Formats: sequence, C-alpha cells, structure tokens
Amino acid sequence: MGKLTGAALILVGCMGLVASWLRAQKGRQRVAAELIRILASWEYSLEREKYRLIEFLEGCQSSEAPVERLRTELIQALLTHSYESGAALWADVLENNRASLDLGEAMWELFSAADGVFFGTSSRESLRCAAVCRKHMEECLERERQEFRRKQRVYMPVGMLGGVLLIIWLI
Amino acid sequence: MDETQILQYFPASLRKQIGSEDLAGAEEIRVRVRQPLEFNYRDRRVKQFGIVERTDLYAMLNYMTGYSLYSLEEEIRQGFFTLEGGHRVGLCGHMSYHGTDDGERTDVLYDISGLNIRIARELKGCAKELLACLRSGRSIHNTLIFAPPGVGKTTYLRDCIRMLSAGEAGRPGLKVGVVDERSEIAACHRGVMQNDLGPRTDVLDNCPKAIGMQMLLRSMSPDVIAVDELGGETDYEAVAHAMRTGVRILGTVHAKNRREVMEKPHMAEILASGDWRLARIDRGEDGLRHVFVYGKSEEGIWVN
Repeated sequence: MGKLTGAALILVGCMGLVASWLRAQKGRQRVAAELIRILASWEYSLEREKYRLIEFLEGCQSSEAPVERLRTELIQALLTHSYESGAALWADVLENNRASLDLGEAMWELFSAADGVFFGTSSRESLRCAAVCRKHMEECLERERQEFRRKQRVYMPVGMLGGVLLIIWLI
Repeated sequence: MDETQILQYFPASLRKQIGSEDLAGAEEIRVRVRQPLEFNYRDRRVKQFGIVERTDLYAMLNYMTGYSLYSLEEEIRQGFFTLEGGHRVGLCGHMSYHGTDDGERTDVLYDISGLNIRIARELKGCAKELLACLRSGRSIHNTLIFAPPGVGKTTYLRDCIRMLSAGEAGRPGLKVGVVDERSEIAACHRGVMQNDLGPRTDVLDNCPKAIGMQMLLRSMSPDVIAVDELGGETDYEAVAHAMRTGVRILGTVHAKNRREVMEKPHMAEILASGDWRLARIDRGEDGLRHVFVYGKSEEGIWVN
C-alpha cells in the first residue's frame, strides 16, 4: 500500500512539474500577446485619434495582471512629473516590472527598447517604431511558440517516462 | 486651473529656484535656453531666476504635453499650443521645410529653444461698459476691437461673448458662435471649454476662421459670430458674407490705431457696408486698460 501511495505521489509530482512549466510558458506567451495587442491598438490610436499617451493608457485595461500593473505604474509615473524624459520614465518603470512581466530575453530586449514607440516627438516616427517593434515581437513570439511546442513534445513524455522509471526503480 | 499650477510644469531644479514666488499679476513666463527664466508682470516688473538648460526646456515640454509631443504636432507647427486652464504656450526653435510626395512643402519646428507661456485670466465684467456702448436694440453693432498684441483684445472679446450669451441688464441672451482658430477664446483643452463663454455659445475650436464662419452660418444659426485676430483676405470675405446674412460680427484685429484698421484689405468696404463700431484698447503705464469706441467718424463716441 505504501509503495503504491509513493508511486502515485511520484507520478503526481512529475505531472505537477510539467504542468507548472506549461503554465509558466503559456503565461509568458499570453503577456507577450497582450503587449502586441496593445502595440497594435497604439498604432491605430496614433494614426486616427492622436490621443495623448495617458489617455490611451487609461482606456486600454488588460486582463493580464502583469500588463495591468505595468499600465497602472506608467500612468502614475506620467502624472508625477518626476522624469525629465520619456525614455528615462520608460526604462525605470519597465525595470520595476521586469520580474512580473517575465518576458523571454529576446522579447525583453525588444520591448525595453520601445521608448520611441510611446515617447516619440512625431506621430509618424512613433508609428514606424511601433510597427517595427510589433513585427519583431510577433516574430519573436512565434519563435517562442514553436520552441514551446518542440519542448512540450520532448519534456512531457520524458517527464512521464522519468516518473515511471523512478517508480520501477523504487519498487 | 489656477495660474500657480503652471509651476507644476517646471522641472524640480527650476521650481526650487522659483521658490514661493507669487504669480499674481504675472502675464508671461519666458523660457529661453541658456538664459534666465523670466516672469513678466502686468505692471512691467520683470523677475529672473537661474539659468534654463535645454534639458529643462524639454522636461517642461514633456510635462506640458503629458510626454506626448506627437499629439500636438499640428499646434507646434503653428507655433503654439494651449494648456489646461487656457494658458497659451508659444514656441520658438528651428523651422525645417520638407517636400512631400505631391510637391507640397510642410514645415516642422524642432530644436525648440524658447517658450512663452501667456497666463490666461478671465476678467469677468471688464467689458461691461464697452458692451453697453455696442448695443443696438436686442443685438449689437458689428464691432472690431483693435489694439497692439498683448494689450487685452481677447480678454475683452471673451467677456463680451460671455455677457452676450448669458444676457445682462435685463436683456435675453443671444446665440453666439465662436470660431476659435487659436484656442485662445474658449481655450478648449481636449474639447472642453476652459473659459466661461456663457450658456448659449457654440465653439468651433482649432478651425480656420473663414471656414468656421461658413460652418456656423450653415449649421448653428448664430445671432453673433465672434472671431479673434482677423487678418487674412479670406477672413474679411467671410465677414462680408456673414454680414449679408444678417449675423452680427464681433471680432478683434491687430492695429495700433484707427488708420491702421482702415488700411487692412477690404476693410474700408466692409466698414462702409454695415453699422460698425471700432473699439480701441490702450494700456496705460500703470497697466490699466482704457477703451475708446468709434462710430463712422474718427471722433471717439465713448471713452473709458
């Protein structure tokens, strides 16, 4: 009975590890997709509405908690008038949110260099930056998804097999 | 917005130097790169603080525009934009001209090196006596208020609009249409009027005067059309057209004296075609304003 319980626990543990890895990967992809959605919305806003950044941010709530937190902190930073340039504001707020956004290295490099997208001096310049940034982020996300699928195909059977082998070895 | 809140647009280093400086009576704040920050007061006093660096000026622009300079491209191209509260910010810098695909040239102002913040103040009631002199039955005479820049034409115009729209001295209010090409009369900020122009006033903000007057005539059936700083030939053509429809015109024009007004293009014909009043505003050495109203003749018919 003890052996059976132990075997079940090992199996559950292995499944849990795989599930948690899957959840983290999916969450990261959802955050990246949400940022891309916001960039697309920003492009539309630049082209049609000429909203100020704060007005745009106030109107683009997100269901993803890390993105929502970033949005709220950006609004607060815009209102405090404590950063002399938009680039400084962007760098600081983004760095504060680096852990919670949990973007991959490549995606982080793209997004953290996107100050020109939101703080450009001309809408045409911002629009171009936004289009380029969004395109690269989309490519990056696609690569991450492919990598995820590849890893998923390997890790899931390996994880389960490892669990079964461990059970056999222990029993 | 209270004028002291303008200080929130200054970077911390300049705010520290300004300290608790009283902005009451200040008319303009001049910001020039590598020059002292300058407050100009109504009584011609001038106060200077520290030295403005380029980073200070750009920080101010960021604060004023909510880090969104791009959203004011059109205004910056024209050389000014309006802050919440109606304060107007004039800009100086390097003007660049670019050709476009269809051969047109557009101008862009960059390397901004100077700001002039004109502090807006509503002086409610300042034009009460002037308006009494402009009355003609239920409405008013067509009127041009003239003065050199910075004397207060727009302030008087705004007060006239407010009183005409709200009604005063037992007279009912009139429908007033305002073409606010430079956002100085109503000082609309994100579409909301910052100045009180009365309950029966319709504002076309950021619209060329000639086009705006036509639009108002077609759509809003105004009793009076108010416009600031008439100057272009098309402006006067639109005024003449509006007069033919029976609408009264209340406008301002840059001029030092009556002769300068008369020398403006089409002005003699326009003034001859209707029952006009010309109101001149002077500023005395003490900063107080004096108003002279003329009818057809050069003799003032009312002086305050």
